[in-house]
Amino acid sequence: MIAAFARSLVAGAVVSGTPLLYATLAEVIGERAGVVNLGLEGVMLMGAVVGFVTTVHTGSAAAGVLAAALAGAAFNALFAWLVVDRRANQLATGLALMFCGVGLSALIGAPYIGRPITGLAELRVPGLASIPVLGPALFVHDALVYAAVPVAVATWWALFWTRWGLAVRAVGENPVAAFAAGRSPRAVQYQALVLAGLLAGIAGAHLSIGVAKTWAEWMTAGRGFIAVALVVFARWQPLRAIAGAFLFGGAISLQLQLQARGVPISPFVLDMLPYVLSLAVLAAWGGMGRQAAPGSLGRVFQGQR
Amino acid sequence: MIVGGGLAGLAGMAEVSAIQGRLRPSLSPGYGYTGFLISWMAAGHPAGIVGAAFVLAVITAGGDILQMTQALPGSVANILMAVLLFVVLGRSGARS
Repeated sequence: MIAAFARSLVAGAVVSGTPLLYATLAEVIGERAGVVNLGLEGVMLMGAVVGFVTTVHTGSAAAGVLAAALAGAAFNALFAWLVVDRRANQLATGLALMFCGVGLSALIGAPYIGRPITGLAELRVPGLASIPVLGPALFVHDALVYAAVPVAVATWWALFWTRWGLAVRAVGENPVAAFAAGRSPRAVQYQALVLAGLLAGIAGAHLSIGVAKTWAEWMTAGRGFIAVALVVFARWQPLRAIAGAFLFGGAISLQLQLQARGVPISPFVLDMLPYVLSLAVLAAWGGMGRQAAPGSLGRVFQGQR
Repeated sequence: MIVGGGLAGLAGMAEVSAIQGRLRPSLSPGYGYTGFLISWMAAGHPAGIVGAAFVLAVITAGGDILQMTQALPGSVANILMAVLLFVVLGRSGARS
């Protein structure tokens, strides 16, 4: 009984945490370049719907993930054009992008509601999957789950150990200084936002192709906003994002497990559980988070490009 | 902030008691986010808030009519709203 509960809890945490991790990494990359994207929810939805439709028509989940990543990148490029080239307010543009993604994905997905797909296959890791309790919980998942932590490590490496990452962080801290040093803040922000769009698209695809294996309107259900909050929790560090995403995934998993087992707590209180947890964590960490934020986060660079 | 919270509470009260007539778990389909965008579009002018709120309300109501008559999901109205906002946002940024 307890072993079964623990197994479902851990497996659920891993599955719920994976799209959150991809989305959080996307937001970390964008914010490190000085751009807040509140439209992450819309980008994820576009990835989810385009990935699902592609999988229905090609029968290949891999093609679906690829199409989702490209759709996310294209959608985020629209955001980049508005905030970088048109110098629009980032917060308001992000929310408008979310509304656009909600509407567009509902329109594209309407004929596909209820269509079943095979989706991403579960891969058993030979040997490790036979470990009692933890084996089935951690080592029987789809490929995107296994790729999530390596992608987080790769993001950390790219941001902190490459010249490109140095440019991204320089632009996020102070675009004027980066410009004076010969970097183009415009090019760097475009690159960061397109890369973020790729990851956010994959996050959406994992929901529609990997977990639910179906399309439903607004199926991200606020995960894009959770990811924006997790960036503060992670203090803009990709490696801390791993902990944040899976902790929050665990809270969602706990809520679902308690509900499935008919624990006599109001379902609305259980719905609240992951958000109460994130509010509590943000309140406890607030002071530290502010110092870790990139210096020019959210500001519009007015100089030459 | 306290007055703002009070006004937001009034908005919820109006939706529950005047429009829906009952309490449902999901009674505000993104109105909070829309409110943020309206206040941004109005740039702090109370008269602008009325105008911007009216324009976005017309679009939202249009979405409900589309859902009833055209077999389209009601949220397609969000696309029109977003395009309108993109234009306003893109122009305002270039001006400053």
